[in-house]
Amino acid sequence: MVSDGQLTKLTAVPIAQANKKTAEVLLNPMMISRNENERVLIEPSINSVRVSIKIKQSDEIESILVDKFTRFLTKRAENFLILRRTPIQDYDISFLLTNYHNEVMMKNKLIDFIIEFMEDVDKEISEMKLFLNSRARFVAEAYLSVFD
Amino acid sequence: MDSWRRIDIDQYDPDYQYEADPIDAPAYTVQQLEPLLGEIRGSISRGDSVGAIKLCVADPPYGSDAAAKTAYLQSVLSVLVSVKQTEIPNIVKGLDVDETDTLVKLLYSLMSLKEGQKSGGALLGWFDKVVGIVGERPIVSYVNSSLTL
Repeated sequence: MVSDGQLTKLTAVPIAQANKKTAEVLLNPMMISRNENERVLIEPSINSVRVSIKIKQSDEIESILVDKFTRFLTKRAENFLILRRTPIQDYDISFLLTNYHNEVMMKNKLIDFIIEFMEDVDKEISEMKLFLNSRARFVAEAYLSVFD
Repeated sequence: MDSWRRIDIDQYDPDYQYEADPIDAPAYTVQQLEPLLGEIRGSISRGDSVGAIKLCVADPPYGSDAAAKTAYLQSVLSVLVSVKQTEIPNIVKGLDVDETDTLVKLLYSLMSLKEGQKSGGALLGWFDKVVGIVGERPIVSYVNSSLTL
């Protein structure tokens, strides 16, 4: 049962966030996983959806890159309306879509954005890793050429 | 009592008092499920994948405890993994509305399980084909269902 006090709050708070407070209005969360290290958690509720992404990290360099990349984005979360400042536990980045976002933005574009983000982030990270490696090699060569 | 400052008073807030509605499903123990799981294993070893899937989606133990659910999901996983990807469309076409809903429910539950994530590719293959054939209805039905594994 939803009490009267809760009902008045329902419209003001993104329910996907208000975990235990209003378990009645949460819908079943969906976890979609490609493997243990790449998964997406979608937590729907009556007025909001929280989408959390665990980005592939196969080695230490990738975890550092993912950490830097997500931190770069979350630092600018206020310009980036749907981004949460902190990802939920065990995930790298979280988006919170509320009814407000649905009113000011186009729903299909929002969905497209999240899908595009998921598609591009792996590519981006592996590109950064390649770039980092070639740069490291160049730096090492430049420094060590003195001892030739 | 020194730790009184650490008491979580919010847990006594009337708004937080929530009791899940009783689930209208019988609670089985692992022992009670064993015959069904044996039957499922039998079907796989006979190569009868359609029969195995039908058994899996017929009566999942919604009201049971976590151990029984995990045991059940592991048998379902072994069925789903043993089926060839090319056979999936024919199996899915043989299932009725409720059975496909349950199948998608099982897929979601498996994907949030460690063992299921290890063979995520196979599960996503199933998911892709089910949604391709019957559309998005089972997803909506999963999201709103009170009976979960």
